Amino acid sequence: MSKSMKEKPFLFGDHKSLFGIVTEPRGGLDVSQPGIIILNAGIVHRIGPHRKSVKIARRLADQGFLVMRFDQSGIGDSEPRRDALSFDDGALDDIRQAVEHLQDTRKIDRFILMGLCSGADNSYQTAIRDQRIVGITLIDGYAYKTPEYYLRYYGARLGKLQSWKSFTRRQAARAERKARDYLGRGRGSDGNGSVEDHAMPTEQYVREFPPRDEVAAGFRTLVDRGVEIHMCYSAGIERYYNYRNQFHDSFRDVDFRGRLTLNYFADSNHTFTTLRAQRALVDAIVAWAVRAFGPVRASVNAESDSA
Amino acid sequence: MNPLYFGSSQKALFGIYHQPQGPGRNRGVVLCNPLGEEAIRSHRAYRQLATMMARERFHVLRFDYYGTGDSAGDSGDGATGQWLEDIATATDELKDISGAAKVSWVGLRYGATLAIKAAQRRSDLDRLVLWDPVIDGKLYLRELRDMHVDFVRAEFAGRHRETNPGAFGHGEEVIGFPLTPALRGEIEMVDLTAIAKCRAKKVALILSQRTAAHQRFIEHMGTWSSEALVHDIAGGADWNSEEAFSDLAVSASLVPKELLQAIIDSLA
Repeated sequence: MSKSMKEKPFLFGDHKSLFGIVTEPRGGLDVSQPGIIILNAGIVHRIGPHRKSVKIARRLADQGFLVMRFDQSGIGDSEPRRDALSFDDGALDDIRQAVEHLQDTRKIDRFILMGLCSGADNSYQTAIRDQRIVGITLIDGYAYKTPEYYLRYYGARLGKLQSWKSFTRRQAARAERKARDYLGRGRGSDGNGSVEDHAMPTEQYVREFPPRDEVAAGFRTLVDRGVEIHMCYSAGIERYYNYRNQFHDSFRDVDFRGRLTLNYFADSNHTFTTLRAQRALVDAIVAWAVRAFGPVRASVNAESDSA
Repeated sequence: MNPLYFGSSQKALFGIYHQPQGPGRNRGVVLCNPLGEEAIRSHRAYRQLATMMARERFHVLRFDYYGTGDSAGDSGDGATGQWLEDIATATDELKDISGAAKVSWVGLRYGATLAIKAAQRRSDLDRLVLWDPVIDGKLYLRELRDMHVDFVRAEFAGRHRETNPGAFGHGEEVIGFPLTPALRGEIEMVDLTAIAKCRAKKVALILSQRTAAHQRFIEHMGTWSSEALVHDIAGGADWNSEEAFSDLAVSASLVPKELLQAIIDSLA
């Protein structure tokens, strides 16, 4: 935290059962600027994997943004929900309460949501429902496979001797069928709502993605509303995203009208573990926020994590 | 549950104070975090422990050291000397806000190591509970290195051999957290069997897996004048699992209630 920065912890929400921390903007609050809310990644508490959410919050506050990080119900220091809402619906309701807390207490009426993995999914799902959301940063958010995805996926394995031994005709036929299906449908992805593909390595963690067409329609809605969209993909989600422009290729039928920024982190895993990857991600987020919503304040006091 | 920042404005520490449920015992407990990824993995267990302690009418403060968690400072700023001061600052804060006359410390992994080192500096410490403490710094550094290498291997699959190994922070990072030369040097010097005496009235050692280093430490504790207790409770969390996804790592760190209760019983 830079010398002039302040953070305030608080309980909020309909039952004062949610816990969050606001990082005050350097130089004072400008209510014309959107507030930024950083969401949980999975069940890791609000500091985020490797403390990244703290780093992002403080860097953005250095640029003049008010930033809140908080724990959704049942995560970190927030109480479990008292109602019967599903985990997904409960998360969206928690985010609504976070937005309304900042709106009521800080008089901010525009917001940016950002998150990794489930935090990306929740950011998107809130944005398409809530007009107050004017920007989203989705880190390893929804992704849809393209012909180039399959070529790269199988190509990488064909190049290895071990893979030659295990690459059966059945798998090759499956890859070919996938590509043919795609061409037959004439759209940007396989349209499969699930990230699981039985030809791919089995992962313990399963995320369900909505159908691509539904998400494409959602992006069109966001663009029509003027929402700034920041997509960040790591190289650590090879099972559903494996090259820089896959997002563009997946959504060729969506005209983003200059509101899309795509960053690909070829040296990073899913949680941006190395300090180098962390710096690259934080720099990209700050640069996007300032370009899309700034200039707010001069750049100062970059996080200086180093060995 | 009362969240707060305390300490100096330049080095503000984040903490959560748990008030006793019902009339307080006039006794407080400060929970000392482990480091890095282990602190993330143990967050849930510490919250659960603090809640259970508050039900048993203890005043409890859990907090983040400088440069960790929600406290001020960059992740590379932390060092043992600062964290020993932070434990003292947290103890004074708990006494101030609760009025508790007696304060005990519970530390997990390197947090336990810090607690016993900090205990050399205070005469007002009541109980000291060491939960899976790091006894031998060199051994701990090897564990951290192996954990990082395994994590990188799992996460980056074949890529970690094809690229410069330095790109993955080997020797300088541990799963997303900096291991500065200064901190490495401090950890390397750790040898709890060299601590001549303990100023706490009673010391409890809670072990989820007894190692040879722990066995040496137990024998060494016998030379202290403090009353010493050892509890072996199997089935504890895996603080060093190689799970690539943080969610799974957090799930692997679930702690049996019996272990948490044993910690509380040690304070009685």
